[in-house]
Amino acid sequence: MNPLGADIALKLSALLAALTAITVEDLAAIKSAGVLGPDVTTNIENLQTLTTNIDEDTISQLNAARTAAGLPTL
Amino acid sequence: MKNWTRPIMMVLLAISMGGTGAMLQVGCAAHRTPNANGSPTAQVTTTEQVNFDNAQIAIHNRAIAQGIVATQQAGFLETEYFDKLSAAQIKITRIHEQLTPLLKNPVAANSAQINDLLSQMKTIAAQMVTDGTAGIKNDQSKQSMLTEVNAISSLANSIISTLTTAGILK
Repeated sequence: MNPLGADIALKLSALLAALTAITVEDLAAIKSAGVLGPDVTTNIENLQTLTTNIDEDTISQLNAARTAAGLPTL
Repeated sequence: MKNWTRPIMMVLLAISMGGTGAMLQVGCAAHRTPNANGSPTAQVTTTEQVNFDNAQIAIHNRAIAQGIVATQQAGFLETEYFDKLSAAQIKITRIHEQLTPLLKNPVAANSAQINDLLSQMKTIAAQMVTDGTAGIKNDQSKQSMLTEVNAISSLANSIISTLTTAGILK
């Protein structure tokens, strides 16, 4: 394998590890969110907070990556 | 970009999308923890179910975002396509932020607004497929992308269906 091919393989391995971690983390988040306690009001509050926090995190991550790529934040 | 790197990029995109696809299939109806005394648990309410579906949209949307970011940062997604995909995802997320408080206590008075926001999300999701897959020549990658973006639409439809059955949406 030439040096460029080795570099690609290394990046591929790192990316696969990152993607696996994302899948595992989010699978756990869905499972956890779907387990409800006895208090309906508390459950709805918790789901609302979870959703709001995740949306904020999503925009933050996308904008950080856009900035790093030289793109304007949105 | 060298010609031979494009197929690798497409495979990686397919993997990233496929991974979140596996995650989505696990997403299902919410359930209540068993009572300590063994008595029957109360049914999950309509509002709990739509809020769980809504949370799944957020989780799924973030997973797709993380997959796209990871793929782009590893150098396997061209900036042109990353720009379009990330912009569309931010739009969906901003709309989703408007939808979430309306689902805290969904009422018929908000029916038109809820329908409109869900419809906007589905429209942008469809646009992501057009924009994001425009440069993808590999059919498998294109199909994976399609499946993942459609997942957001499916969850939006699930919310509409649940609220319609409950008589909240007309």
